[in-house]
Amino acid sequence: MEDKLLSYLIFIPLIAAALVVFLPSKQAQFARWVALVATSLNLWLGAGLYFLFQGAEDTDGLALFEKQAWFTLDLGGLGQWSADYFVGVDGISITMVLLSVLIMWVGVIASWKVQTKTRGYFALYLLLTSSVLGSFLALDLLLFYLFFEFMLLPMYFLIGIWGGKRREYASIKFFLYTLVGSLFILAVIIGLYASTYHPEATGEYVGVERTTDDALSYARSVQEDVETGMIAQDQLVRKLDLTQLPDPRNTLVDSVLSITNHAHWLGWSLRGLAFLLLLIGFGIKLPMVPLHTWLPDAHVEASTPISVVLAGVLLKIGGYGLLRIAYPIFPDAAVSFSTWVAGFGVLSIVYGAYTALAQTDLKKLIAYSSVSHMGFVLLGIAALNTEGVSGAIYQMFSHGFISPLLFLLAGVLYDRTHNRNIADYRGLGQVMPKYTAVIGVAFFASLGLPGFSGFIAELFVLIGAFSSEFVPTWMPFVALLGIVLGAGYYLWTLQRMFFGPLQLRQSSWRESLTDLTPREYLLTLPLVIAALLFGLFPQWVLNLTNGGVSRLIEGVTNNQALLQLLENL
Amino acid sequence: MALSVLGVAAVLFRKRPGRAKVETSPGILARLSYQALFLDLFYQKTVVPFSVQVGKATNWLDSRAWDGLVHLLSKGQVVGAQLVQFADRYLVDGLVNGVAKLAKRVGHWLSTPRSGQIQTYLIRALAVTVLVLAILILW
Repeated sequence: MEDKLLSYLIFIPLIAAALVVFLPSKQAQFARWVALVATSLNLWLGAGLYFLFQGAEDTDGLALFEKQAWFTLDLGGLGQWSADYFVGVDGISITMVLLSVLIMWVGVIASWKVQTKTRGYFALYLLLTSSVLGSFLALDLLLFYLFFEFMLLPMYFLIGIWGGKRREYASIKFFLYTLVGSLFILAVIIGLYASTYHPEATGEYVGVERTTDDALSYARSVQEDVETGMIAQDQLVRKLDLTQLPDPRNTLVDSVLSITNHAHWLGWSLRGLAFLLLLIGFGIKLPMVPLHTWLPDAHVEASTPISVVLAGVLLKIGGYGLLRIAYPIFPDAAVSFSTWVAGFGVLSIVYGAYTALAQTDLKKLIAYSSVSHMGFVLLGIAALNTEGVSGAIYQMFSHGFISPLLFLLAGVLYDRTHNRNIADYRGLGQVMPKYTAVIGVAFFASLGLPGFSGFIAELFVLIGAFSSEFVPTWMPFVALLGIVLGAGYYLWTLQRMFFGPLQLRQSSWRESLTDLTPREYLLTLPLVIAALLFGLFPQWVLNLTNGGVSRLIEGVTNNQALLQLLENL
Repeated sequence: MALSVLGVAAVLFRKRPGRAKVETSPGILARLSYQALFLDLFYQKTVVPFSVQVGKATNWLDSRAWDGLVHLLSKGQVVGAQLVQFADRYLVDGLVNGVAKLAKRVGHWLSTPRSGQIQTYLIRALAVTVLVLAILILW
């Protein structure tokens, strides 16, 4: 069971999707039950993973992994191209995997009332679940890209078919934006493919004898053979293994992405350019200002459960991609671009917050608050220290359940009146006191009030940014403004919509404005409790991430020093 | 200790001697203090409208400038696609059709003066050869 746990996480939703597709049309209502069973199983496996993960990390930081040969292609003079079905979980991905299983489960319950094209909806939803988990678990860059790219398809249809009035526009915009980002990432993948080799696979292919069981020593001996020319170009095995790509010794001398390649394009080194492409690619997904305008439209037009998934999980793949791919593989460029990354982070924080302040649609306000909160992720990553990166991961985790909570609550109101205009409501607390209490807690959690998870995340990011040698001190100061503005737009909304005497744009709404139902409690309370628990007991998350974060920082620092050495040789 | 301090504070608060004093003899400092140094008013007149205006500006930038740029790019793509379609229909297809038409015309032109007299053909062949030679020499 443990050996295949990660595959179960990916394939259970995929098999369930196939089951849903083949359900007879008369049994279409069972689609939601299939989806619920599949995501509940995943939730249960996720809980198992949480307990298995504790203290199980190996020297590479992987607590669990699975590796199967996927395909091999002989390239003649270029050696061999090989790819693995390589999935694993470490300190960087564990929180994202746990978050995904929870949010995808919540999403199914939120989708319970979907009546149109039920089978199609749940099949696509389960396909999305599989792709999301695959993206977080993949340790082969090609496999990652496959899952990353595959996410587009179900999301496009889920927004485009089950969305609001301008769903076609929003879905096409989402698709095109993300596709452009994906192509930038693909360009870097091709560059890496042309520039790197896999030492262990090459050694086995050539038949280098293993004198020790230590994989690292074996890799070093193969690297020496490649450096001295004992292993020729046509004997190299190219494999986009994410655990091997960060090692600068696995990059071929004078190849496209070699540190010794001094070619420039528009004044950028090719490694710098590759990092920039990854930053744009993942920055679109995060989203980072000014690449963010797809997000408010997608959120406003998507149905509530899809907004929940989008805000809770999909955005995180952007931050995760930077941490998993861009920073470890291009540490030299990451360091030189850090100020820019932090700058984009601060811009996103302040710009997102100011724009949220001007919104009239509750859902759009939450969408812009997401842009602002994701800015903290960029700022934390740019700090490149344990506090900053831990804060960035914590922010992704925390925002992963606070933001879905807010979208669910916006959806509760929309379900009753089909209107989300802030100015059309006043004094909702009079008729929906429990709803008001929950949304009040959600607003406070989102604005980073101490005691909630958002506070821990933002605190870590700010401490990291203040103590970082890569982030100018004025930047975290400006970022503080985002927190103040966050309090401004949330409290203002609370005051306008929920306090004072009851005033509604249409008096007929009064009848439909009932308080939370048991199903809505089931959806929202776990997320409220999570926001509170992870705010009070941050150690539960930090224990999971600390090893991975330390290894990431150490790897980036060491590889950057090694790259400098290689460049000066 | 803490409880006793709280108790004394509660008693003093209940008596509230300061409040009556402010009401009876409002000096400048007392008035300022009563209005919280007019900080609320200051914020209402400066920070709040400024923040709202900046919010409106960034919202405009988002919906008009950024999205406008994206829409312009999209429209550019559509215009580009139409130009390519025009080029495809009238230039590429036109060239192919033109070559075919030219071949047909030339064939027609060559076949029309078919007289059956061998001398006419020889004269024409000679004329064409002289013309080609003249072009080659003069080039």
